[in-house]
Amino acid sequence: MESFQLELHPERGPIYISLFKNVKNAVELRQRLLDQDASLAWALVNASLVVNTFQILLAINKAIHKEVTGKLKTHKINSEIVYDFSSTNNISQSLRRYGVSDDSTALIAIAIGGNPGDIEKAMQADIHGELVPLSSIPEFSDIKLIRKYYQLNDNNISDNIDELMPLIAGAMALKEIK
Amino acid sequence: MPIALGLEGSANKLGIGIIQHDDTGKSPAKVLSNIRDTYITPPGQGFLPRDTAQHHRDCILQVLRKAMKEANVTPKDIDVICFTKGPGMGAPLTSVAVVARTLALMWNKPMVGVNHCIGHIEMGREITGAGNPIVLYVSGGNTQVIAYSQNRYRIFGETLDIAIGNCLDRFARILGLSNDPSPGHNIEQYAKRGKNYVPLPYTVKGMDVSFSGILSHIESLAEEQLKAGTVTPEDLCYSLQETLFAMLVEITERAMAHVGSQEVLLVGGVACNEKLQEMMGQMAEQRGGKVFATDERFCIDNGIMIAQAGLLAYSTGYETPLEKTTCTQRFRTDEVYVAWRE
Amino acid sequence: MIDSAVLIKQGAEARVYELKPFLTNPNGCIVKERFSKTYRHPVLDKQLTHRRVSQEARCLFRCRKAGIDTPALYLVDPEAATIYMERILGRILKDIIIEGKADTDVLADAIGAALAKMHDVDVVHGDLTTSNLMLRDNNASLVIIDFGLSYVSKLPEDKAVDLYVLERAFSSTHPQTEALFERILTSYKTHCKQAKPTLSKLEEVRLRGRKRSMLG
Repeated sequence: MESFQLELHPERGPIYISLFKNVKNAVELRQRLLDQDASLAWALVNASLVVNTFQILLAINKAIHKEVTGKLKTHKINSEIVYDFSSTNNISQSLRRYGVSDDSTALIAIAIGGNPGDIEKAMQADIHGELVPLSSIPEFSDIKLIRKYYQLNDNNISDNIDELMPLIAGAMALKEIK
Repeated sequence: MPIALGLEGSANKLGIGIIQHDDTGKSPAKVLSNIRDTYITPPGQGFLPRDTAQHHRDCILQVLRKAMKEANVTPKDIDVICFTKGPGMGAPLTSVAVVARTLALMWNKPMVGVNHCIGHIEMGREITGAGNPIVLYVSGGNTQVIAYSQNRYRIFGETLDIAIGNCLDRFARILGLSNDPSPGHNIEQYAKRGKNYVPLPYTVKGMDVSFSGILSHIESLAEEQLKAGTVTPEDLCYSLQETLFAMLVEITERAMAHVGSQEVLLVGGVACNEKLQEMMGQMAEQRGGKVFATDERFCIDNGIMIAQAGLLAYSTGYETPLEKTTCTQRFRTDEVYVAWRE
Repeated sequence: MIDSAVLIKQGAEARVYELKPFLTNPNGCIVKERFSKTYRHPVLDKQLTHRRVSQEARCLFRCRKAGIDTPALYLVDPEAATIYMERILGRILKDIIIEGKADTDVLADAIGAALAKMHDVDVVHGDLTTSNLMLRDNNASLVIIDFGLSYVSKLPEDKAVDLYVLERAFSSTHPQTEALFERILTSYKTHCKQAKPTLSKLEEVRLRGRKRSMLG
């Protein structure tokens, strides 16, 4: 698990991000989300649609910024974070794509504020998988799917993350902008 | 202490002015006289070149006598005769140039042909004491944002189609407002009584602006909604001024930011609009700058500004030989080599 | 604005800040905050500000997607009229030209090619000056910045005016650079799919410019 500060909203405390691989209980986690189980206190993101930490932080930053300015589209900050990974305004589709699905094996768990020791323990208790460093995110990235979902299929765009990331960032930022 | 006589008649105003400079350059120029006679057409009508030239011919000697008398000078006191070379309407320009040439020959005086826009700028600088301002030149025929650099007044922004004054005048004609004292003045009075803001197109491109689309939009608004009673002429004048002037202030501010200037000088006939001055002042205040403007004696076309710019050129040794004292309808501000400034 | 942001430019319609670092990026980001103009009617002011924030963000992205080097978008806050974007490590072209050390032919070719690409995706920049073009320090890539007046248009007229604005920016800011601008146009012509109607419009727009000063 790694921790981060948001420059725009330091008052929300540190942000904790963990990457789990070989997750065995995706079905259970999804069910708990559907049941709106409040004890599951993390935003859970499908790691195959993520290219790096910056992308995760952009989504968190946007969601928290919207929360602070009273502009949340979903009811909770955790679902808003998942929603803000997406470039479309379709909430249920966004949550389905970027959240946990029954066959998810690589998941990113995000927590806002709190004690790092407690959080890591609680995350591991909830998510039955292997905690790995965020630097291994690229191993799980499904570039083809990422290009499809972010509508970056033009031939002039390469699979290079350095080229893709600015476009992913732009697609995420432009959501909800009329 | 050199004295210049200036004659201006590029549009519907005939103006003759006499100015005196202090040789040492220490004290400000003295305006000895500044006489103007405006050709006013009936409501709904613009001024045509031929009729305007006739007006100028009809009253020029009278205006000249008045200017000489008020200045209390005789021909022998005058050092140089300055006239508007352009830009402007051909026939009125020529009608005045003929008189200037005749006087020069009769009195045996040198001549200086002056760019009308430069006249506005130099008079504005002289009267307000603005050192090196961004100049917004707004009149019936011109809309330019100008900054001085390397001996030229360079045009940073301008209208891409019609001039601001032309836009206002044409709308005044649609409403049938009086041309006395000027259509723009009457738009301004109507605008003061306007209450409702009607959104209009807003066209700024870089430091350039475009007015023709706005004019046709408000024309059709006027046609449809005035009859229906959903808007008043006052509301339309108000909204038109709010929109057009916001555009002008925006490009002026952009030019100020671009060249790093904190001063704005407003010149030209539209510059005496108080609403424009007020908005420009608000902009300047917001960025810690200053606005310089003159009153209608100097911002509306006049002879003294031609005398002023002409005398500045003359003092650097410039003269226009008789065979070159022609007029030109097109004469861009940046064509003039400004020898009298650093 | 938050305390750690440093004001780097007080522009005509926006304040530009540098926020370093930003979300682990050590180069930080640029925060462009438009402010309201007291001289403008409040209705007009709000409408203009809102429209420009959204058009700026959209055009930035549209260009980037088309392979034109522009700052990446990070966050758009329409209510606060603020855009967070990539901070380009580089220099503005105005300074490079004034300094006089760079190969201006190479620059002109790059400018022409970038503008051609931009116009091919129907983005009209609206404020092309040598202050709104940059060169990246690391790879000398030409970056177009400040899309604050940009919009999408297919009209050759709008694209021609875009070029005309740049031409005039060159002549007012860098006198005696006609040859350089001509070279930009030559490069533009080679790279732009619809150069012809735009360039013939440009002739028209230029002519209008000279014809315009008819009346005093």
